[in-house]
Amino acid sequence: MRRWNRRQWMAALMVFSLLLLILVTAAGLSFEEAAGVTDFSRRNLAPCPEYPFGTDFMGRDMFRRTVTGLSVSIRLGILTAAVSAVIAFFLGLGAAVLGRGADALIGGLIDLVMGIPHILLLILISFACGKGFWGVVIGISLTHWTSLARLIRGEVLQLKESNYIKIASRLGHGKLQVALAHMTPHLLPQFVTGLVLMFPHAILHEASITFLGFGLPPEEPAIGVILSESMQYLVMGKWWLALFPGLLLAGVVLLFHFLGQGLLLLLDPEQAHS
Amino acid sequence: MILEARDISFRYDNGNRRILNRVSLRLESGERVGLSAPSGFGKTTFCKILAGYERPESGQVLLDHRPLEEYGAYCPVQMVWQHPELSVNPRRKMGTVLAEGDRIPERIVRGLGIEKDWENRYPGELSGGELQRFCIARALGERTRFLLADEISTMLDLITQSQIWNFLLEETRRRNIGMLVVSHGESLLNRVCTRTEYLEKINGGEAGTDGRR
Amino acid sequence: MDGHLLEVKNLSISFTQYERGMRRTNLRTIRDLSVTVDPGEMVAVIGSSGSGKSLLAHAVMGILPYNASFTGEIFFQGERLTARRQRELRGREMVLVPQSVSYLDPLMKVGEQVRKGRRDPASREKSRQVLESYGLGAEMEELYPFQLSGGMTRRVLISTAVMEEPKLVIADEPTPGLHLEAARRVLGHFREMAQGGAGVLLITHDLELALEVADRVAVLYAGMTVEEADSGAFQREETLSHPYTRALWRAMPEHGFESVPGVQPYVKDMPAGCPYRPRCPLAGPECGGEIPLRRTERGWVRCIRRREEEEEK
Repeated sequence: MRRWNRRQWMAALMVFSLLLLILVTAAGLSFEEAAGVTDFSRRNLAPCPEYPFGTDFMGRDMFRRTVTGLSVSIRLGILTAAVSAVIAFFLGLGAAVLGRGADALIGGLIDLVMGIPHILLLILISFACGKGFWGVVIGISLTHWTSLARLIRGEVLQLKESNYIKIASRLGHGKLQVALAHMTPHLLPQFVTGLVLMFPHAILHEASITFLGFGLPPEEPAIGVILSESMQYLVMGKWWLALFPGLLLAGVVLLFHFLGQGLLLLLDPEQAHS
Repeated sequence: MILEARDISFRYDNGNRRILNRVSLRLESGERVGLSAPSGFGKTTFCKILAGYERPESGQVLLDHRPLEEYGAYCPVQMVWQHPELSVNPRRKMGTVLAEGDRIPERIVRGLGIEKDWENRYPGELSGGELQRFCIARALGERTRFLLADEISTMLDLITQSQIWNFLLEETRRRNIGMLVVSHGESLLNRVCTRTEYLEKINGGEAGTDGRR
Repeated sequence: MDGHLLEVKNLSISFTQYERGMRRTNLRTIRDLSVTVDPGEMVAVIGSSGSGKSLLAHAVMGILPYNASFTGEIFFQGERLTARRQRELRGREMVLVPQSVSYLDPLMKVGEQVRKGRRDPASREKSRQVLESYGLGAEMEELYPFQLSGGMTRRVLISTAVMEEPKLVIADEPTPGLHLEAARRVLGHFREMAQGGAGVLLITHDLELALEVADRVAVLYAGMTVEEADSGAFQREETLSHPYTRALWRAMPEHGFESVPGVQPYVKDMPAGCPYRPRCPLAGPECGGEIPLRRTERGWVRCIRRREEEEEK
């Protein structure tokens, strides 16, 4: 067999991590029912072959609960990161293309959102939207677009100075046409990478505000809920309630981060030599 | 048609040196005027103003006695730049580069020796000479009346240079296009131009490399 | 062979790079490039832009990018150049005058740049003299690179190079963007260095200018040296041997401005054997094989057909 080069290895690993993430998501969906089943005959069991992650104070299977929680997190992460990235794309493009006024306005908005501590703004928005699923989605979507928007704005400003963009406008191409036909191919890799790298943030922030009680409702098997419940039992030596869900959350975040970095390597032509 | 630069003055935002000072030039359809000047005298800037890339600080660019801006989105005065690799979008295939122009006839594409197969490539996969052929083709759209050639063959080998210029001479004659040819090669200017202007002579002021303030 | 200051023998340089996605390719940009430079001599290497001729300079100086590799041999004063030797020599015995402004430190004033940061009076005196000899006044030392015009930048780059009184000067495309007078002046400076005893390797695309100053000219076609001859040989077409060199001669604006159809092949579509074969009027089936170097009256050539033609006469 032909030896794989570094990029092919990279791509193979990326496909593997993607499959893993899909598996977790799908498994979570199928466990949704089972995760909520309470059985007081098996309360507070330590990890054993039957219940690898143990059970909690209501006798719920922690493995199923954790996977379901991760699945919720991933789906929520994808939704919020996508909304955020789209906001970032259009605001970034708009700032650079629409002229000085729009640029100043969007620039100010970016600074404003970036200036307030993330978690604080997130809690405020989520709370104002009545917490729960939509509170979290709106909160995260409205707070995570700033750095990508700034990146895209910078890229567009640079593109605007390039000869080929100037030539296109002298050839009679309108602003919109230039933005879509000429700039988008340059922005797409940034966009996709930015999108994927936003997942881990979104997921962590979702878990954080849920943990703090401003996010998903307590009856939902979310990672944040699991972790905050486990707090009360940790002191009683029920370490498995926090350890496994926490580790798996970190694992998922790292997988997404790895995917994003890999995409950056494969899509960015400036990295042609590495 | 007549392309006229009237008393053009220009300085860059960041610099305090005025590179162009009341420069005037008249160019008629079918004429090929050579423009020569030492480096730093603003030849490229002058071309950019004539093609509408930059607005002069004072003075006017007139095409048939009307300001150039009145001619709509497609500028009838097109410029070909010295560095073809900077003039094409590195993320778009060369076929789309041709499509950027104003209905480029097949005759021009073939006349410039552009091979069909190149159109499916990205700019990074072609040499400077090959890219420059695309840039020239793109600038020769139907509505082009004047062509400004800013050192277009400086970076190319002699054979490519003569291929490109022989084509341009034929094409501009056929369509009665006026040309401004910027080059430092005396022999080239003598060969292709109907007359030659020296920017240092028509430039009215303190401009120039060593006269910086 | 000894006596040469610099000898480059059958140099080939290839790059590995990734295309979009995962395909890794190996591009051989230069193959079978051979050239020699003697002390006091100015040799020009002519190639069109994008032919990878700058890589020759980078290979000699030992500053090829890490994804490039080369085969072939390079000798400096009869001694084989190793990476270690290159580190010792470059910037002192052999210097590169790079082609663009981007090689200057944008945050360093011209004076410091030329002195390479040294502040002692001797260096100051020396740099003053050197800059002065290139027509750059004392006020120039206080400017930053972005404030220089193309011609001034070149002169600053040259000044930086000659501060060390090198034995070998490699000039990489010193003239583009310069007006004819300025370009002649810059090349004149290199000529002076050769007259001062240094060997000068001029890498350029401008045959006409090179002929004005160089002693010998090596012509590159698609990364391969096809002919080397003394500059005088370029006076007439008949004294040139390779069909490409002759076509080049006929394409000069003062010699008919004639154009042969076709283009130099792109690195990826390089034909085996002689790269000029697809455009050559003399080409035959044997041109697809290995083409040896052959001595001519004025230098040497890499062409089989020309000899056969001569033998028939």
